[in-house]
Amino acid sequence: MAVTAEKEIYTLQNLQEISRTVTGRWEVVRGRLRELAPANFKHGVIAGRLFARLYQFAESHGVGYVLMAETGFILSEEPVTLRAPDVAFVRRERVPTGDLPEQFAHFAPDLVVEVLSPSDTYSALAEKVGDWLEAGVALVWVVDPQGKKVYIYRKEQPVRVVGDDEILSGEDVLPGFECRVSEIFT
Amino acid sequence: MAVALEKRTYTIDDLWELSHRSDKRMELVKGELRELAPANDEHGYVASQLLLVVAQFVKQHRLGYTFAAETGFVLSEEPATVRAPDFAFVSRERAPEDWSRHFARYIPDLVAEVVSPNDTFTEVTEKVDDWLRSGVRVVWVVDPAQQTVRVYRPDQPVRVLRAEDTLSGEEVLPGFECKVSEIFAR
Repeated sequence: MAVTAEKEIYTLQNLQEISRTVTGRWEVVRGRLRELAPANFKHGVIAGRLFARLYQFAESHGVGYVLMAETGFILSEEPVTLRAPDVAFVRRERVPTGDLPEQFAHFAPDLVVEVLSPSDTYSALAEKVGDWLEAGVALVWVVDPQGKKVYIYRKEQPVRVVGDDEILSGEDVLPGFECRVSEIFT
Repeated sequence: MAVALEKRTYTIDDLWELSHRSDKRMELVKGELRELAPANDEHGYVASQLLLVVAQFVKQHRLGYTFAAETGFVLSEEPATVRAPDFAFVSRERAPEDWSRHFARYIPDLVAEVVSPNDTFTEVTEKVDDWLRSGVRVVWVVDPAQQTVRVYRPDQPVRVLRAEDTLSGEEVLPGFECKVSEIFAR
C-alpha cells in the first residue's frame, strides 16, 4: 500500500496519540509514521475474498483469529515498529484467555497477507515482508492481482510462487486450508 | 523504471533494429517492449561504485568480464526476452571467445539491479525471477533508499545485508568482499 507521508520519530508512548490524531490507516516503521492510502477497488475485493476464506476455515476449525486490515501489530519497541497487514491470522493459543485485548497486539501474527497495489514499490514492500519475517511471522503471502500469482515467503526458505491454476495452502500454519488461486482473482 | 510501450509482439531482431534507430534504452520482456527511463543521480552513482569495486577485483584476479548498464542479455528467444541489468559479471567459463557485437547470447554469473524509489515490487521481483530462471547464479538488488542489498540465489532464502554487513562474492567471485556501506558512501 502506498506511503503518503513520513514525519518525525515516534516512540511506543506516542502510538495512542497517533491513533487520536491520524484518522486514516497508518504504520510506524522504526519510529517513522507512514500514512497509508486507501486501497483500490480490486485490492479490496481480493483482500476480502482471502479474508472470507481464511475466516471461515479458522472459525469452523476453532484454530484462531482472522483479522482485517486495520489491526496494528507492534513488532519492535526500540525503535518502535507497528505494522498493519491486509489480512492476518493469529493462532488461538497466542492470545491470552479471557477478554480479547483492547490494545494493539504486542506480538506478530502467524500468517500475514499483503495484497499488492500497482503503486507498491519494491523498496517498501521488500522492507515490509522482511519486517514480518524478522518479527516471527511464519508465513507471508504477497498477492499480486496483476500477475495473478501469490509469492510465498517463509524465514530461511526460498521464495515460492503459486500461479493462477495452483493451490494456495495453509501449510503447517493453517493445516488443511486450501484455496485455488484463480478463485481469488476471478 | 520501465514504461510499457505500444502493444505488439517484438522479436530480438526488432529490438536490435530499434536500438540503432533510437537512442532510448529498451528491454524486451516476453515480446513486449519496455522503455527504460534514465536513472536518478543516486542510482547512477551507486551503480558506478559497485561496478568500480567489482570490476577492479575481476580484472585483478582475471575471473572474467564486467558489463555496464546498457548491455542487453538475451534470456529467451521465444518469447523474446532481452534484459539490461545495471551491472553484470560473466565468468571466463561463460564468456565467448570474442565479442559478438550483438546482444549477449550468454548468461551472466552475477547481476546487480539498483532500485529507484518508483520501481514497483512486481517489476523488480519479475526481473529477479527472470535472471534466476535463466541461469544467473546470484542477483544483488541494491536499494539506496533502505541502504540494503538483497541477495537472491536460486532455491535459497533471500538474504538482507545492511550497511554494516559485508557483501561477499561467495563462489561466484571467490575472495571478493566489500562493506555494504562502501557502495552507498559519498
